[in-house]
Amino acid sequence: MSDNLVSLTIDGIKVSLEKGSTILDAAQKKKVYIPTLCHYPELTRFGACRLCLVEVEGFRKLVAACTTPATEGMVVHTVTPEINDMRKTVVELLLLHHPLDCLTCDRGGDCELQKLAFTLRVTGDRFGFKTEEYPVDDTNLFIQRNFKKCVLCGRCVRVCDETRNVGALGFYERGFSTVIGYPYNKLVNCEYCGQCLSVCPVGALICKLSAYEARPWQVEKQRSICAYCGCGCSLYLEHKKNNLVKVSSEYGMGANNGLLCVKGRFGYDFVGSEKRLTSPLIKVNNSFKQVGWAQALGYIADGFKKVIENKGAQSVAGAAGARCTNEADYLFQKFMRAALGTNNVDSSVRLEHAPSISAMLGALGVAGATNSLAELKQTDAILLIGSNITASQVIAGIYVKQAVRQYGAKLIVIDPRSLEISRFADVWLRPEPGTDLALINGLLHIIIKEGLQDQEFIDKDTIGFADFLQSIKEYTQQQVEKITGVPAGQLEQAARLFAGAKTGSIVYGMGITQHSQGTDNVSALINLSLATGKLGRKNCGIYPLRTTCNSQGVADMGVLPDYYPGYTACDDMDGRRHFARGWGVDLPDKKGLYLPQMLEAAKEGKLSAMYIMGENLLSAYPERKQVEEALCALDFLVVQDIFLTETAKMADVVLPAASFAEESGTFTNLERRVQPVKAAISPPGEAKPDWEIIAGISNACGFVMDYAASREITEEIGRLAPLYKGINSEVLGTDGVFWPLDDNNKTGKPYFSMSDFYEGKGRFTAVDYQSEAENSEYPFMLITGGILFHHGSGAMSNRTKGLNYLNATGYVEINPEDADRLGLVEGDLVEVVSAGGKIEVKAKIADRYRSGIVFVPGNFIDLPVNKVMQVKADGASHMPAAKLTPVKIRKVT
Amino acid sequence: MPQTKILLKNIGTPNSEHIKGYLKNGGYKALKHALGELLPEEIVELVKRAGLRGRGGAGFPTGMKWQFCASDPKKIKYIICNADEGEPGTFKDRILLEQDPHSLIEGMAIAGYAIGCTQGIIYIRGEYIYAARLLEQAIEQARAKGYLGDNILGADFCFDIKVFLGAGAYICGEETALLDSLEGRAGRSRVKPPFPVNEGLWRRPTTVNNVETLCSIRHILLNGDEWFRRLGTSECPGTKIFSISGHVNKPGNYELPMGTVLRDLIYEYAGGIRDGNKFKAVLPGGASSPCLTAEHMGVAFDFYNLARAGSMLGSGALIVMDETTCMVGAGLSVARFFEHESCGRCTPCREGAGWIVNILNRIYNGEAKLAEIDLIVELADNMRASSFCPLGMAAPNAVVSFIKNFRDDFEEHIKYKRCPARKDLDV
Repeated sequence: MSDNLVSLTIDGIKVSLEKGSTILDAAQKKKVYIPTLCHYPELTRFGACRLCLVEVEGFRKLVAACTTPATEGMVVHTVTPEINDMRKTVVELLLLHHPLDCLTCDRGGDCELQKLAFTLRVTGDRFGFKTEEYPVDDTNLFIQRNFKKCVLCGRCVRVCDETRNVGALGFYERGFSTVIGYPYNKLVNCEYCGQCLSVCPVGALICKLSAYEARPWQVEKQRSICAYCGCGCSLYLEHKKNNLVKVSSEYGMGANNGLLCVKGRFGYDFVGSEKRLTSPLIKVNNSFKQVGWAQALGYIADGFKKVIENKGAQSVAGAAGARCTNEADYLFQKFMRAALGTNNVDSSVRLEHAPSISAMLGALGVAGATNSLAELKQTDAILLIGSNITASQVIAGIYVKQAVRQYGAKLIVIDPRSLEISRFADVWLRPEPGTDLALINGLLHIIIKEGLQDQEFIDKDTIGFADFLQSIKEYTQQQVEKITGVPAGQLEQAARLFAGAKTGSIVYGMGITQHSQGTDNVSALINLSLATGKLGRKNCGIYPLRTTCNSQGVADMGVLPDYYPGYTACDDMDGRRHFARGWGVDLPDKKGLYLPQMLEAAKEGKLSAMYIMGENLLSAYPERKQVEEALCALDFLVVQDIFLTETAKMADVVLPAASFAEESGTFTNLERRVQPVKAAISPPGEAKPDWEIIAGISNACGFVMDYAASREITEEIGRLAPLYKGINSEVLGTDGVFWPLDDNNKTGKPYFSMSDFYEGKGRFTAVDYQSEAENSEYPFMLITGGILFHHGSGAMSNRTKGLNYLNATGYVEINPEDADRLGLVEGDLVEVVSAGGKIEVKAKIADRYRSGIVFVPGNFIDLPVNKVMQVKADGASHMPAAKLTPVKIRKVT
Repeated sequence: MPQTKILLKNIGTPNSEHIKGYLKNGGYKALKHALGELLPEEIVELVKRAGLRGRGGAGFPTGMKWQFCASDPKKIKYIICNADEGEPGTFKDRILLEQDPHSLIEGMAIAGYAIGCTQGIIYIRGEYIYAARLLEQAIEQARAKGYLGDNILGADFCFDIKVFLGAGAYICGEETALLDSLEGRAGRSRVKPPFPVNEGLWRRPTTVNNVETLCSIRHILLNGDEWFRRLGTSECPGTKIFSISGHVNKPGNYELPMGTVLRDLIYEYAGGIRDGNKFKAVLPGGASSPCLTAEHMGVAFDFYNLARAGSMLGSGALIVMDETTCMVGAGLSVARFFEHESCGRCTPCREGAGWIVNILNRIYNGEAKLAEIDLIVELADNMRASSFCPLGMAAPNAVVSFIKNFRDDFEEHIKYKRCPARKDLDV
């Protein structure tokens, strides 16, 4: 017997399991039922409800199975008359407070106390009297707390503190008067994630959005993937009579381990919105006319044909959003390439992580996070840069917080903003906006100067170190302090912390990529990974934080003008031949136009038709004027979406698509995990899944696409796209797989080894910081980004009731000092003016930013901040970068 | 018969609370002896041989606790003095804290040396603010004389003490709740294991000892284990300070050998029952203990003999009740105490303590059914067997013992709406 195991006997059944396990673990392993209420996996052992008491031979007293360690040779009995009596009393005592209104309780039929009372046949009548009334708590917008139903198991308190690291809840009062509440009776730091709802065993916590929509046995649950950020959280879509009534999750499921954020849990009702598109529309005399599918498809085929006949295939282009499935994305580019004969196809990845793709492909030969999200928890040092992770990739943010607070990791945060995650940081560097590259090179300079680099790794596993060494020579502490404003001492501390850790990972967001030097920024981060040997093994990786559910997938699927699916370069002859054979047509050999080039070409009259799928380009693109002018100049525009977005309003044909809840296929999350998406309900009216629409158009155009179901497309991808080789619906199972698979590994690679990189090496890239001239006419630096309660450009989240309760309109956040100088108070209307344009918006005074910086969230349809933003392209990746725009602020009088 | 004053010997001598008085009475000799002549493990052995048991109530062998803590490989450790004297009827620690604080400081320093730790903490109940200030002064005096601080008495041993005031919760006298309170949280008992000797304050090995226990240490060091074993009974050596209160003529603290019988405690030392009344019952170990009655006059007061008699010694707080006591009312006041002090964590204690008050109230007012008397007993059995920590296990002890021994009192309240003990009481 191994030293790490103990064996014991439970109700006559022998169990052996790991040391440190509890009696309850042992019982659950052998499916011996022990009732519990306060126990919840991964939360601290609490031992409070006393339902799990068991008898252990030789022990003086009964012990709680959930807190008592299993030891060698223990003989446990879980059912004796004494134990039964005890359990009955516990349930009885709980029922004394608990109103027996199960008939109208939202949890009736799905309540753990109800189950226990039923099993033990207890009513609570023995004591014959009831406690006083206690008002319900309605402070929280989404969650109603009924104190009388509460069994004080403390699961909500512990999950909020230990798992989410928020701590919005606690026990108040004591003894008989104990209640669960908020600090000072105020919702101080609740993030509305609703995790407390998901762990409550009874009806004490009720979701106000879904209350009384359905009885638990009336709903069907479909497991699927969230449609918001790139974390790719698994969730259950609960539906009744083709209506989505609730989103829920379960401990341990998916990449999110059962956790959801406010958007995922409460932001689903856009699906059932009355404003959904329900039939194809054709613009006649500037107004839309509802038409049937056959007419619409024919009209589109004619439209494209006419343009191609007149101006050639290069005069059409396609752009896809990141919210569609891999299957739709794959068909989209196949249609553009094989049916229309152009490589003019791009996606909204161009607006977020194009620099990551170009830098990572160049240095490593792969484009995507090198390691899995779960590994973050085990990492010794995390360097987080340019991301408000706890707002925009909440679950990844939770893992970082857990790494720090539960697993003892060191955290370096690099961001000019004061973020929620900053308070978890061991070192927080606040560089001047836009000086990240100098800062990273500065860290590398210190690492080399102090000899902290992993020379053995560098010699064995990397290329280009010598040139790289030359390139960072100038970045002395003094120089970097001058550029970035970060004190040299802090730089040294950060460099030593990261280089000295056994394992380390770099996590970055669009604060890195949306810059004119975005690709260089990413390259510098890769240099840092390589120099410290923190790549190519478990718990050592680099994570670009993708913003949308399928940002990773849409690029993997080749919705890029320069790559076929699986990052096969268009000018790679073998690769092109492979797809030409697979699709049965000749393929264009020239790479196509990048999204910004498409807009330019349209304005110049070189591009005449566009097909836009699943993206409100007008809001999402950083320079609104560009898109307006370009789309106006087109002869023919087809937009396929779930709402009549601003972009759709400019189209000649609008096609109604299915939402994530109505479509099957796969999404690939930011950790390269390909996960099955399953339709729970059918789309409204005539709306159809994206892939069906594309196939329909293609067939109308004369290029046959014959798929009976999306899984046939999944299989075709698995056959043709190199990275997705071998992936099909069977292999995916419920939890999905990490690409790439190989013959003896059917669940894929959660982390890359060095041998997975191009030629088994990492390449250093010499990159140099270029300063930008200051502009005294526009003294403020405008930063845009996301907030917790909304997503992307707001197309989905702005149309949900719940999220709008929390935050319905945009604002400009101004530092109190600046506000004083400008004579502003909270709520004043101000004008934000740049060289490109202006917007009017209400001021919000907050000290998250330093003087001289203002922030406007990009998440609101009604607040088109992209009217102000000004694009500077990142040369290498054609990213229209606009994280920073110089502006001036004026009070509107 | 005179008391056996060892711990209380200094009480009442001039300047006993000041280091000057303490030194005059032979103070800090034991510490000198320990640091100069004994190895830490020899001290642990000595305390083990002496058979000293914790005086806070549980009676756990002190030497064993020290040994567990000393043998834990973690480096930083703590010795904590539990001066959260909260058990109703107990006032023995207070007299030591207020009049002989150096005796505690010396004991803690010796314990720190034996266990291998440099930081001591005195967790004292908030109401003892006077004692806390005195302690702080005493600690300052000890520092000035080099009995605390770096390299004490020239030895390779550094030790210091902090005083921490509690905020008024009985549960914080339970050692793990005390640790939570020290860490800044609301005091609620912790899951055991891990035990404090392995993972205590800030998850470091921690020894928690009662004031009286720590004050005994210097006497054991100076006089030896055999001397200590000659005091008291063979199972429970040493003396014990008994706090006697209630319906006696001379309430107060009495230091006597372990094993002194109840009759002597009440009639010999506490001056007998007031007004010549008849004795009715006594809670021998504070509000947590089941009562003894007239038939127990010969019971020897130590941990073992009281357990055999169906009760417990606890902290040695005798609450004496004479024949005029309404046992329903007495039960109610004990039950109210526990209802108020239950932390609210576990179901049986939180709900049970509340419901017992509820039922007792109605019995007292003659509104209950007879069957409800047994309901209390059933509920109490469940609480005792299933509560999370000792508070809930002990909470119903007194009430149930009152029902068992004085059932008539309860029944008459219900049946005849009157109290047999208190004719004046109009139910």
